[in-house]
This record gives sequence, structure tokens and C-alpha cells, in this order.
Amino acid sequence: MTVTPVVAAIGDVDRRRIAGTAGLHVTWDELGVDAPGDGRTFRAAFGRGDETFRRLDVASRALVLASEASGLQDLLTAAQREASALIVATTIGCLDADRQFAASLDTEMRDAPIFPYTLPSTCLGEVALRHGLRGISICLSVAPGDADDALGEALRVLVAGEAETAVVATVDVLRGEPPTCAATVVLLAHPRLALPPVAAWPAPGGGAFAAIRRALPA
Amino acid sequence: MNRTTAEVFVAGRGAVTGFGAGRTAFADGVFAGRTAVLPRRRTAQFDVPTTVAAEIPAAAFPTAWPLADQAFHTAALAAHEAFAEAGEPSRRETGLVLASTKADLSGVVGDGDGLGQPWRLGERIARALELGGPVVNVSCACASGLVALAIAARRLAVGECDRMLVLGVDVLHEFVLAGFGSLSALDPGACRPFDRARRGVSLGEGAGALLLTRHRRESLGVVLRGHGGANDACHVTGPDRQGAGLALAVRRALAHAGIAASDVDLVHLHGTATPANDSTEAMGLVSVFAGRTPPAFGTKAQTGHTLGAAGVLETIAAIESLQRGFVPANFGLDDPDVDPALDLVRSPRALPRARTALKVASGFGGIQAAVVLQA
Repeated sequence: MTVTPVVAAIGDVDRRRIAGTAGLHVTWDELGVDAPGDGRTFRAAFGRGDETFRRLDVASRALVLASEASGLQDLLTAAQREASALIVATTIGCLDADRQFAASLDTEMRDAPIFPYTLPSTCLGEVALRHGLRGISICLSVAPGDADDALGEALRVLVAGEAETAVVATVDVLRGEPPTCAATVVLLAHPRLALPPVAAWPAPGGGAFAAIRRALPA
Repeated sequence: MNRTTAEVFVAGRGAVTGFGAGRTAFADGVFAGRTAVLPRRRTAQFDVPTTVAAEIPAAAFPTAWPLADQAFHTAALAAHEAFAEAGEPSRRETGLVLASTKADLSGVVGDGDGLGQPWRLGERIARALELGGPVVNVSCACASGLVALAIAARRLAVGECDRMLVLGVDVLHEFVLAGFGSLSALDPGACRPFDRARRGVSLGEGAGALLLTRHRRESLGVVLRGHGGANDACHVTGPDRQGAGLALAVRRALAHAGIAASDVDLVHLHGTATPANDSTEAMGLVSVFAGRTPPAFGTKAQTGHTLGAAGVLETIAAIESLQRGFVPANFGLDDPDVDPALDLVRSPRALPRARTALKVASGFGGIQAAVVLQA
């Protein structure tokens, strides 16, 4: 493959904080809420509201916060959003939502609002609709440690000329009280777009997402 | 943009559906105008708001598999058929793209190991089939199969391996039946896509296998000419009300194939039978084809909606239509209730010179996908 993409934006949510190349770095302690936040978190972090954030499942909240923290919305033109690919990898998938819905199977009222979130493509869709990303959309189910496959797939899409930008993400949620979640969103751009890099494109091999994340404050 | 458009060929096919094991059973059932959407038997104990489903008949397998193994054995059966049709090519240079929504749910509802994670099933299948190439697992809701075909084509086009087995599979489970029921998305009886009386989906189960190759000598005379994708980016469970995302995916697939809309001879529809999906699908397609669309048909009224398997199985149906030279009637369609410029086939129509087919699919998350096939 002959394209070396530019890493143009990064957003990250983990058990301690939200951080991104748009300049945000705020801990959950500072926000006064457990990850990945409640109905007030989006406004508290970004200074504006999000009408539906409150109803999102845990994975979608983490992914939406990470995408917002990356600042990708300020870097892409409307035309670039129209064509931008969106690729998400997850290992655990929707197990948290799955168990929530499964728990309602023996009740009279099945938990209809959570059912769409039992598909990993739904959290991808939450990011797409917030940023108007209308390109190729792919959700990968990956073995532990293989989230970098999403970066590889994005590179193939860029090399094939099917998109000039790709929003690439990984998200996983471990059930618990509170749940443990982690999400990283990376904006990759074809070098001909000349977007300024915020991190080096990592060398092939394991740990690419981790290497990119190191460009953010711990 | 410069696009990689190296040719990708179909070398083998396999299917397991409510019609039984084998592509012939599937295709003969569809093209003879039969349906496998029947009163529920294996899933009859589940309290869900529909009386029907397209269950794989017990006779398709030599034994009754435990729930945890059903997806694996269904997928493996389809895969073996595809390799057999292809003349058993080397598996060392063959990769796998598995398409499934939930794979195995036996540990989510029950005490099995399955946690609804397709990668576990993909690894098991790749090991069992002794595939030496890359393994990719896709979970893009009901668009999974077409997204998987595009992933495979991308890898073959740049020579990452010689062959890719694209395998779509999902089996019926209380979890999924109840989920669609909770959304009021199930037809209480048999579904009727595009009909005025449509009330929702009928679910089915099965597996579809397409063995793709980059070697023309291995081809069955069928080319995966192009693929395209898009996202509605307007709602995560409902469609764009103008079908704009679907239209975008189709235009991208046509551009990737290097053909015009007027070159398409027939369309295999997504056709879930939910009121909104069918009408917006029609709008999207009509916007691509100036005037009337090519003859169009769907098969979910015959196979049920097989979710992760649907894209692959229905691509096989589109190929069959090209090879048989006719388009079957849309089963259960008495009173069309969508844009009349969508040419919904009402009785079998001969198309002896048809060469190019378009297949479309949509999924939760706003995912839209299309592929172009030539035979």
C-alpha cells in the first residue's frame, strides 16, 4: 500500500478522563460523574447540548464523547463529511446492552429502547448522524488486541480511492457498576488533503491505536 | 478519485435456508414461487408477536445441534458447498469475511459460551475449514453481507490473498424475535414486502456463502463488478425519508463498477416489509434510475429476513436471476403501495439478455450498501 495517511485528530475516553486534540482534557472526577456520563455530561464537557445523549447506551456515549473531543467536526468540510468513511472495531460488542435486553425477556415489558443498541452498528450510526458522515460505514467484530484492524481497513479504503478521510474508532464496555468503557476516535486523512498531523502514523504491527493515543495527555 | 477496480470473480456458492440445505433448494424454492415462512415450530415456545418464521428444517442437518452450535454448523454447511462448487481450491490462500449480527447468543440467554460476538464464530469457522488467509468479522446489522463482500473485494483487488470466503449467517433466537417484536416491527403473519397491507418483518435463519477469487480461471462466469456504501446519517434505526443514503450507496457502486444506471438489468431489493423501509427504498432507487427502474424483486417473503445472512443469500438470488434469465414474482405482493416507478415484478418475467444486477441492503446505524454483479 502506497498511502501514508495523516492522523488529523484524536479523541479518547477512558475510565479516568475525556481528552482530545480539540483541546479538551477533563477527568470524570472534575465532571462529578462516572464514565461515560449522564444527561448533563455533553454540555458540561463541550458547552452545548446534545438532545439525545441521555438515551444512548454506554458504548454510544463513550464513542460520541470521543468523537466530539477529537474536534473532527471543525476539520472536515461538508463535502468531506459527505464522503468520509466511518469504521468502528469492537471486541466485547454490545454485551452490556445485550444483557440489559435479555434481562427483560422474562418480563411483560421488553426493553425496546435498548434493543437497537444490541447491534454494534448502532453506536456507529450515532457518530455518523452527529457529524454528518455519509461515506462507507463498517463495524468490525475483532478478537482481543485486534482493534488495529479498523485502522488497516481504513487504510485499504483510502488506498482504493473510496474515501479521502476516514473516522476510525474502537469502543468497548465492560459490564460493572459503574461499567468500564473505553473509546478512541481517530480521523485519518489522505496526505493530498494536507491536513496538519497531530500524531505520527504508526508503523505496521500491533499497538497502533495505543501509539496514536500517546499523542494525548495521559 | 482513482479507484482500485481489479476484477473479482465468484468461484463458488452455498446456501442453507428455510428451504433446506443447498443452493439448489434455496434457488428452486424462490424461483418456483414458494415460501419457507411458515408457522413456527422450533421457536414456537417463544412468546413473540408473530405466528411465523422461516426456520431451517430439521432434515437439513444429520443431527439436532445444541443452540450454541447452530450458527457454526449452518455456516459450515454453506461454506463446504461453496468450496465444492469451486472444485475444492487450496484453502491456504483463502481468507474469510464472516457477516453476522449476533452469531451465537447462547451465553447471553442461557449458560453457553456465545456472547453475541461474531469474531468468536469467525475464528472457529476459520479453524474448522483450515483457512490460511486473513479473517475479518463484520457486524453491520442487516447490511452485513454486502459490507462483507466489499471488504473481501478490496483485499482481493490488491492481491492480499487469492480467495476470500464471504459467509453470512444468523440463526433464530428468542432474543432476536423478541427484540423485533418489542419494536413492533414483526408482521403477526407472513410478511408482504411493498404491499399496501404490509405490517412488518418475518424473520428467518440461514447461511449464505460466496467464494470470491481474483483468478478468472476459477470464475463461474460471474463478476463482482462494483460496490458502494453510505450512511444515512439521520437516524440510527429508521431510514432517510427520501432514501437518499441508499441512492448514494447505489451511485457509488455504479461508479465503482464503471457503469451507468441504464446498464442495470435487474435489481434485488432489500424489501423488509416495514412500511417506512419499503417506501423509502423505492424512493431512493427511483431517484437513481431516470424514469422507471429495472425489474425489481425481493425474497424476504420467501426466506424471511435472515439478518446477517441476508446480503449474501440475496446476492446469490440475484446471480441466479441473471443465470436463469428471469426474475421471479415478488411473493405476497397483491397491491403495491410504493412509488410506482419501482418496477416490482408481479409475475415471473423473462430477461434472457440480462447481464447486470444490482443488489442493495440497509441496516441499523444508517448503513446502506450496494453491489453490482455481472454474469
